[in-house]
Amino acid sequence: MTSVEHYVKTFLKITDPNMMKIYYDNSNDALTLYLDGVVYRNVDPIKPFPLSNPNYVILRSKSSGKDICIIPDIRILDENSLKNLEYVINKKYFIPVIIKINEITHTGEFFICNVKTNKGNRLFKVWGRRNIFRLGNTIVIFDSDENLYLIENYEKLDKKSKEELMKMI
Amino acid sequence: MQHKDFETILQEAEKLLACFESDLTEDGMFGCSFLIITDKRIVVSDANFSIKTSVNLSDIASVKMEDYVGNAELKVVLKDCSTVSLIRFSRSLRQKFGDAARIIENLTLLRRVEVEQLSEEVGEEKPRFKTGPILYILKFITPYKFLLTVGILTGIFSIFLGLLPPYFMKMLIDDVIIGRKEGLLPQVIVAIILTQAVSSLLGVARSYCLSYVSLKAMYNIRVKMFNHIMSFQPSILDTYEAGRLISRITDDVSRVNWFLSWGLEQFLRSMVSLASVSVMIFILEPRLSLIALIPIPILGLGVFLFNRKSRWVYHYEWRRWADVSALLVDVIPGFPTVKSHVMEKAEEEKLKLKLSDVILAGLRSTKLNLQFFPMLGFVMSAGTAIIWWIGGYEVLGGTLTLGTLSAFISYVSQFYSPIWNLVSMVEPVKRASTAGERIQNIMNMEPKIKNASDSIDLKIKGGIVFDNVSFGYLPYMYVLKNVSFEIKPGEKIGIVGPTGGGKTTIVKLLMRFYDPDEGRILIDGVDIRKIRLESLRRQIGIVSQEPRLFNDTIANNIRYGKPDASPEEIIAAAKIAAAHDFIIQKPLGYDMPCGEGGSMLSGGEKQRIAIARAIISNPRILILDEATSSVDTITEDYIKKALDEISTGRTTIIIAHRLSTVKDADRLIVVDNGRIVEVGTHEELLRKNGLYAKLWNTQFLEKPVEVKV
Repeated sequence: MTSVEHYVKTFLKITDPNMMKIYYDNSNDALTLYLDGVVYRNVDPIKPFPLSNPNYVILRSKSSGKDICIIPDIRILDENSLKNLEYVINKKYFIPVIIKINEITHTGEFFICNVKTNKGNRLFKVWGRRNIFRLGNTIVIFDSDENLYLIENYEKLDKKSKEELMKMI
Repeated sequence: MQHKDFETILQEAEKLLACFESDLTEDGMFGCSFLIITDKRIVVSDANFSIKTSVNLSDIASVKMEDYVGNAELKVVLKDCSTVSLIRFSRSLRQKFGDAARIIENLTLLRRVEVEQLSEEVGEEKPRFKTGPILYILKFITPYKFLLTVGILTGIFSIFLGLLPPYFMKMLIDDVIIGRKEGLLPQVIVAIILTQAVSSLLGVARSYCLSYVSLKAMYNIRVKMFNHIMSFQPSILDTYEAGRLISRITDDVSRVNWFLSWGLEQFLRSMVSLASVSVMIFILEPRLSLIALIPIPILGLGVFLFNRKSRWVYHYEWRRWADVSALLVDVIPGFPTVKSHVMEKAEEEKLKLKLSDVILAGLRSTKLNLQFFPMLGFVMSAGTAIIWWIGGYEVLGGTLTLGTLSAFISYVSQFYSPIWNLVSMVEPVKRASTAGERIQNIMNMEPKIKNASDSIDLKIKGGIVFDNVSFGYLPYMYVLKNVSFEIKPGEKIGIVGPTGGGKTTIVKLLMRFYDPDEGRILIDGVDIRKIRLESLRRQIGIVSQEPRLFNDTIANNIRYGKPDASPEEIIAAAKIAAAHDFIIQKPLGYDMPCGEGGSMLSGGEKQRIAIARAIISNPRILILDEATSSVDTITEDYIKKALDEISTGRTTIIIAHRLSTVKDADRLIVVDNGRIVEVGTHEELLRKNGLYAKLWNTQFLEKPVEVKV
């Protein structure tokens, strides 16, 4: 009988971050993984839980499309491996964090948001409340072009930003 | 209907056990007739207790209910094989006469009958509440006694403050203006300003405290109602549509809000105000005070009459609103179906009809209000005019000062004000009381299926026995009849058969959404009624044809089957269910929201997430109810591989119309018309050339053969 526990033990390769090295391969803009004496080239990092568990990463072979291993917490990786991994991950997961909301206006079906993010100022349109998701105090916003924005903790926004956000949520 | 009414029918030493009133007469007219069950006979009488049929219990072999169009009939088959028609009734009484049939059957089978319990059947069904709806609602504010007291006391204190301005006015007119005491003017003005300031501050405190109390009380009522509804089995939706339940939690609770926040305080304030102003006016001018009392009896009579009429009017209005909610809850999620059948206009017409009913009901309650309240207002105004008339003569005659009359008139308006407040409160209190009654109705319902006092947590191995199980959603309308089969732990069983044969009902009984009418279901030799519901259901995983996902992330939807699941377990469950690959393609992976009802996912994706949800808790019994029927063949192939993987060594029940899905099962059970007609492997059943073979040939032979099912 295939139980989930059995599957976790047998088929999921949960790896100790100290036992691996990750390099950045300039030539094909991909990662190379050294694990248990095996070299894996063309490795794709995937964050299965980018919001709820952002340090949890699956490394997957681009060529075979199969998962190689799971890193439960990338912060335990050595400095270079972490730097290389984050370089690729940060490109792959571009989710600006909204720090301040300057203004939200409403026109027709759209909300127009003027915000300050950790990646700079941004003006974007959101089509209806359907594209705003609340996960506890975290708020995820998809704009009309399917870009993602994140409010990490609604409670920690300043008073003016909260008031502006109230127009939309 | 009194117990003694039936005594004319009873023979010597015969004991009345139960009586059921029908809404049809023997000749099929609407009217009254009775089915009377005694310890010796079944007697059918007309409304005048004239016996039409009498059957001795000892002659009865079996009982049956025949379902016709617009009515039904209870019959008994006698031991000599003849059939006796007992009583006809409209279909709305099928449940009731189903109970009657059960009682007769119990008696004829010489089962033990609780006579005391049966006797309760005599009489009308009435909701029995320990407390009235208003008292019931008030229970929810008792945890906030302190704030409520503060709110009420600040209100009462502001009443006493309100007594001062008329007195200051008297001083202004009699002492300052007529008596020329100029030095008193600033003091009186400062006193008036201070009084108003303190009164405003008290008003703020009062508003905050009472709003807080009412909001918290509404929160508690809603949570309690939600929990109570969740304690029921899905069969509650047979009685209440989802929209009507939602309406009770949202609309009805909102309607008691006013009463909890302001009604109670206004009532107490009005009473205190009335008492204190009464004292003031009687001290000031006793003769005029008696005149002020004239309108009171008329107001009392008006309120009494209004109360009598208003209850049903408000109930009717709320029910119309609930109809609208039920329609919207039905139609809006079915939006694609409406569009694809171009039924927008038809649905609009339905809504218009329901909304028109709301308008009519609203107008009816408005008319009722207008019949009473303007007239009562007029009566009070007339009282004030009479005081002006008589008091005016007294001022002109010099027996009363102008200041005293002005102060008196001012106090009289304060005297009538709380009376008017109390009168005006009758309507919203009645509305709150009606809403409270509807809340109470739900809260007083007891779930039919609950844990027995001696229920146990069982670690299930997976052996299942259906032992002579009969069941109907309505009494005596059997969906399953005498169904018996055994499944060994780890066995993979396919249940097949024509639509409506009772396949899904078997699953519902196994999950204990319903209890069998007869027979028993055993898991590992233990009757499932003795297993704690939570223990039973946690160990049964079910994937249905149209799985319901919640408006949450994919991870949380999978975790629904095991709230404490680790990230690895979630990924593993998704991998087993062949869902991992498409999940990680989503921008937010497992953190991606599914949308309402899983609207942001395709049918195949939803199905695979539902499978992951079903298996994450490692269920000992896995039920797949048409789990692959609504997906394309490529997705089906994925799912089949996943299911083969997880069902190995685990008791698995697969219900399917597509016979290719189940042909590899260890055994197949063929169900038709609520009975098991064949059992065996695919090959055995094909050789048998029975119903399964016919179904198989219909699906897979080039030339379909006609199947009579």
